[in-house]
Amino acid sequence: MTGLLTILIGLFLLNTAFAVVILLIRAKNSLKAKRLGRIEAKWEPVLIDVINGDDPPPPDIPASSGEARHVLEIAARLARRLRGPDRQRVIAYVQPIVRARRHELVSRSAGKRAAAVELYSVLAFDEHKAYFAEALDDRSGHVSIVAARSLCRPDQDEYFTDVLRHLPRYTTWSQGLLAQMLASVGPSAMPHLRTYLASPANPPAARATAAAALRILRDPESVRIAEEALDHDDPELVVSCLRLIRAVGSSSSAPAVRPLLGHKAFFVRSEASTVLGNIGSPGDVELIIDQIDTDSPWIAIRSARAILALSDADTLDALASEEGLVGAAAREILQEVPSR
Amino acid sequence: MMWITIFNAFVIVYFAVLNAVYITLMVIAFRRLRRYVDRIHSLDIDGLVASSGGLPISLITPAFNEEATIVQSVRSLLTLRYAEYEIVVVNDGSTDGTLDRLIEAYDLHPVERVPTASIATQTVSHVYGSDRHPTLFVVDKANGGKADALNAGLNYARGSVFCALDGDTLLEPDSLARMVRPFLEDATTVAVGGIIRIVNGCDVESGAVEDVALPQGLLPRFQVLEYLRAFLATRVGWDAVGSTLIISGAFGAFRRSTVGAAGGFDTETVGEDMELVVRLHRHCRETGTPYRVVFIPDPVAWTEVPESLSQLARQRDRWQRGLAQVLWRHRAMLGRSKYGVPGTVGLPFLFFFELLSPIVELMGWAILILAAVLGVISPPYVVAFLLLAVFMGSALSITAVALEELSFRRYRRLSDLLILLTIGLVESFGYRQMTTYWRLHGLWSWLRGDRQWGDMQRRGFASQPTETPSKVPAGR
Repeated sequence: MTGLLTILIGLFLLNTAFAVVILLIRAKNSLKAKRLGRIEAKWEPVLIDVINGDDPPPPDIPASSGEARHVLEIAARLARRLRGPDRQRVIAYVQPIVRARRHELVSRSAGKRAAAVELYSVLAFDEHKAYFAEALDDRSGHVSIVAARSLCRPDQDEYFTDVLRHLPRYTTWSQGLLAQMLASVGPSAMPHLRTYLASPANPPAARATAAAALRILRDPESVRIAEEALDHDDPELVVSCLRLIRAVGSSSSAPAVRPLLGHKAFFVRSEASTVLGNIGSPGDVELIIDQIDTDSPWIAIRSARAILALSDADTLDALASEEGLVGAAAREILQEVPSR
Repeated sequence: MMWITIFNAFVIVYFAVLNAVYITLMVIAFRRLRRYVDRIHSLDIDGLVASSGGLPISLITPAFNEEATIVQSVRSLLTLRYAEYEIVVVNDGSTDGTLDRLIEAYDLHPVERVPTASIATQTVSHVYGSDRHPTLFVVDKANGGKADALNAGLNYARGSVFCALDGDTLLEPDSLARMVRPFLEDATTVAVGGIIRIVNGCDVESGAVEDVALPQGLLPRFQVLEYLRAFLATRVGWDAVGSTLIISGAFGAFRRSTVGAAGGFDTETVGEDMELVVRLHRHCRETGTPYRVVFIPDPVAWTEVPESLSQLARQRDRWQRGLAQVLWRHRAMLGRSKYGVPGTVGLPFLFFFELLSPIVELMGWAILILAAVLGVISPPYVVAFLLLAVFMGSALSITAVALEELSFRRYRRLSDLLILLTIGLVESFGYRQMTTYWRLHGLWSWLRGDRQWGDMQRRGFASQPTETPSKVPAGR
């Protein structure tokens, strides 16, 4: 009984202590919020003046202070939304205190390292880009991808091949996101991406990402490489190459695409229909009509859209009177014709 | 008398194991939340949204007699900060003005839309579209229950990911961007759960929560604490060990192709959200498909909770029946290593410590009192055990408040924090016993084969709410 009583008293004290600790945390958080609010109120107008082209005195705070660390965060937040000289003015203004958070680049916490890479990629990219390239090999995949994102910036292809070399590390990431990241470098990335797509030594998923990036960049020179990849076993790579051809190809690619209307994977057939709708000829309408009547609503819808693109609405009108999936798909696409 | 002593020992061990698991989960959740908060600080969410255009999302919102809130809910959905999404509202045979309100507010007219999946549902009479909002569709169908409505929405959805939302759910503007992040980070992700917070008491303007505050009533305040405990402690903890088995029906995102392959939502259970998640685990493990089911605490959806005892009782009854149905249906997974952590740890925990706990708790108290009356144990011992249970419950609740304070701090007023702490101390006196009784009743209802959903009164989100009763027919 005495033991139980001791436990009870212990628990009561523990609960009370817990509650007190929470109140203390709240007090600390409130003080911190007030302090940050004051810093924000003081420095945001200064930084906006800097953006507006005024010339306020340089930040007169020690780089080691908490205030400097927060000023960097405000500056990075503003700089992310800006481009050109406005962005450069903000970045230049905080250079005297820019080292305030450098120690976080080697923090034990992966989250802190990633945040520091993100921050310095905005405020001091040139000084840290070699470090970011090293961070591609960071033991944390999260830090690595943040570093890759920081290295992929307009007209900065210095480390682009390093990023491409690490692409297989990111294959769990969404292809769309990776492709956007790679394409953000701009036209200077295209030769590297072409080489990467053409090499059978690279993993198909990573090659598919390269094809998607070339599509975003609308690189006409990659069409031939994409055509060659259409007979690859990996349907994901085939679909990505089809989309690339759809974006930048011409009728000369149609012969390479037509056989894919009979591909075993429905999403390849569906994509092939769409591509033929873009680059095919009126003669392809019959081929597409032949395959529209499948169990796949995706193929039906995309084929209907392709038919509309290759012929006049009357062909689709005739299909619209049919029962079932074909008719429904035709009627849905006809709704998109403005005059109807 | 021997059996009383044995049973009492069993109850004490049960109680100790249950609390040990909860404490462990809270410690894990604490570490996980700290890392998570660090991690999301390193993500430029705006940049992520801008570059995630390749992942279109369909928001599926079943609506049954939601005329009080539906227009505002849809308005809130239309203002989300996300590149490519569509809204599919499924009017599940409402008998009030739900459809009329939608048609009037958004100039809807019948359109042709090919279903892209063929999950069997009640008859769909029309699909409506809007010229003003080309991404808004309303599927009008005969009443078939929430799961049936979600399946109809799934049939007409076009996004590669769909988000199942309750009709009275308000999403924060960046919720979708945050919700989609696990899908972007790992293509094997098949389901993601977000946090549900309670909108009662908050100031809502134009479909957005402007000011977060605790509700006025004691009952919803108890539920605020329960939700914090459930989402910030338990679900974060289970997610860390790879056993997310529950994604709330009010706010969950799923990969459409995987859900389609698994057969869609089950219309035979009242716990269709949990059933789907457990079935996804089962489907992926049995087919050898690499997969991830995750819970993340930063995408926020706000929802109304019951403010009356009768509605809360029906809700808890339904939750317990749903749990029983799911565990019964997937009993083959229990304890089987083939199903990984969900089969060997998660589901057994749910069975022993969630499903059976009301029985053990009730019998425990009855036998303890009987033992005291018969002189097997001393009355002070009974009182001490009662206090122990109370303090342990309070400790867990207070820890949940601590997790909120250390991570997201949505309740900014000091008075709200003090109220939450007080609620944590007093919820074991009465409220906990009531919920135990409702859960026990739920078990009984399940044994009797009850499949009713019960009623829910929607107050609406306006500053001056109007009571709109919404009777739910059998089958929901």
